[in-house]
Amino acid sequence: MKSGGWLVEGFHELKKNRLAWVCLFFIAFVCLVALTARWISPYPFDEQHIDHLLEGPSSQFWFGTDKLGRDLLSRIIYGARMSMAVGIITAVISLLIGALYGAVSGWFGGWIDAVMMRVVDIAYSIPSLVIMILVKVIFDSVALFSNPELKALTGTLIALSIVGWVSLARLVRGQVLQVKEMAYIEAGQALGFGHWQLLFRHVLPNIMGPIIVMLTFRIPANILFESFLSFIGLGLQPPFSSWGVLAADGADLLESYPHLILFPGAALYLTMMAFQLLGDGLRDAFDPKMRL
Amino acid sequence: MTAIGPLLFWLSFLLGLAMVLFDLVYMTVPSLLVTIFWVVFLVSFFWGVIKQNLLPFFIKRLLSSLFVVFVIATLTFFLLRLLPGGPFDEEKALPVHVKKNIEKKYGLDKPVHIQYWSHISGITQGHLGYSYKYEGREVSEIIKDAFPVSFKLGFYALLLSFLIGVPLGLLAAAHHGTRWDSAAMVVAISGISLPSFLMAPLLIYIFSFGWPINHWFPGFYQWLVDYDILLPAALWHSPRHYILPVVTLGIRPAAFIARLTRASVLDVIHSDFVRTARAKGLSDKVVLYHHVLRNSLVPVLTYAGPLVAGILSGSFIVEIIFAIPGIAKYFVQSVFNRDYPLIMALTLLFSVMLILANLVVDLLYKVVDPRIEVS
Repeated sequence: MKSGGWLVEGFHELKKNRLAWVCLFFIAFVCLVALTARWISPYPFDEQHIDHLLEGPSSQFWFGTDKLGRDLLSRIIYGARMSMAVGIITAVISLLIGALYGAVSGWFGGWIDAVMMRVVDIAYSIPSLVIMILVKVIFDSVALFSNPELKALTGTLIALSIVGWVSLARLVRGQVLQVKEMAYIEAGQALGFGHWQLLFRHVLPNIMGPIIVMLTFRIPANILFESFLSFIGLGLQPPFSSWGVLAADGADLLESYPHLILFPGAALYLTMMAFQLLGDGLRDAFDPKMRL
Repeated sequence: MTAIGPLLFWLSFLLGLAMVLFDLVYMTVPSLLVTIFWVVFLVSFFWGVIKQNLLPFFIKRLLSSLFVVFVIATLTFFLLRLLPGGPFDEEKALPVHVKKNIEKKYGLDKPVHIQYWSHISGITQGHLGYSYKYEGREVSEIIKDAFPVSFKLGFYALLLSFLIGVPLGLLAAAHHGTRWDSAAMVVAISGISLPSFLMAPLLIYIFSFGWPINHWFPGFYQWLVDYDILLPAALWHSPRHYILPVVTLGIRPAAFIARLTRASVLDVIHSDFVRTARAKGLSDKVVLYHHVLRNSLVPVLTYAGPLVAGILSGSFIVEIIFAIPGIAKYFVQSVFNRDYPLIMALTLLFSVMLILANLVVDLLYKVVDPRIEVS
């Protein structure tokens, strides 16, 4: 098998799916907005316009202002930064942990597998939101980063990474168990390749398809969990905001100022939908068996 | 003799239905009915377990579940000691001797391993301790008050998600490739993408505040208000209060189930036994309802475990938005308050529910499809 062949093939498959492409571009656009927030946002995210409190959309403030007179559009742009950062960073961390864990468990089998899977079973039995809340509160006081934005996110990042790896570990283990029986692995063993070489050079590249699909679904799930935490009041520390924080603020003033939840809500909703549709498309392209 | 099992099952089903009706009409269920239901249900449950030779599996799983509960109890205990700040750190610092006395009262002055031991032995004796914050209230008492509310919310959401999800998925699959199919799947994708904390404000805005009627037809809006037709936006006083929270909580799982059902039905439709059934000349309807639906619901069942987990998490948001006096609200407050006994007990409660749900799903799975090896 030519290395990277599945990738090219998968993208050819994906090219036929116009909807998935639109979603991919939308996500890329959101990422771009998040990265360039400093330059494209009309105002600094914490600048208060005292004589423009709680205004509706206007030509000066496209999405209106919040109760402290801050421009909502700028806050949504900066919110994209936080939400996307949380979603992507935690998904990648939990992927690394989960893939390594699942691969080792499935590859070595026997009692190692039994013990490792028992740990996963236990982790599966604790409702994730419960453990997330506890871990978040514990790690919020730990100063790991000096960057103020990352510092505000510390607890959330750790909490989400700790929760996310479990399902990935299960998935990767199942995949490794399948691939392990393949002829080319046996051939590698006959040639005297070591465990790690086989695992990293031959097994993992062949199960990248399902892993990428899982990652695509993991990112929006984590964005959502961050919003959950923010909504309960356990999210980012002010003045920083994510879409979840904005939505929570907006929900308080729903009756009189619906625009405060409408715009951040729409941003969140569209991003969720884009990830969902892209994930569906990727799954169809990379992994026809996993049809849903 | 062989019919007793199914008979008992349907009897418990009917009793469950009666309980739901009682709850929806009177908001309370007679305790006699509850007792009869549990007796019949448990008998039919174990009847099925023994009949299918699942007793060893069941006992094995039960024992390993006990072990898991023990591990979770230990883990939570030590996690809690890592939380910054103690339960009696007020904004205004208490005098040292007062704080000492309080800590002594709750045994917080003892070494950690002794606290741990008394905590674990307390759980095994069913004693969960007293809340720190709600003074004089036993944790078990708080749970007894709040749990039925959360349980009802979760149960109705679960019910709703199946009642919407399965027919929607079936509709999409039966009209595969047509406009119906796309419409159903657009609805499902939207449902999955709309988180509960956006769904709730949306529903409240429309069904409680009466948008857009309140803007465009003030007269009609007044009529709606006068006759109390708009739905309450908060609290849990009557079955009318159930509607918005239950819909909010149930819509996402419903969307998942719809997609799952559709995929599964499409899978089964192309299998050999369906072709055989068609070849025998059976009508499309008979094939769909009798052959396809039955077999395609098995994969949907696997989703029931994660579904319960999702509903548990979702109930946090929903209970907070709608100010419902359930356990999720207590959990969040107890974390803020560092109310150790309450956090411990609620974490265990959530975990036990999840474990039980997974156990029941695995058992059902084996009963429905004996070919499956559940490890």
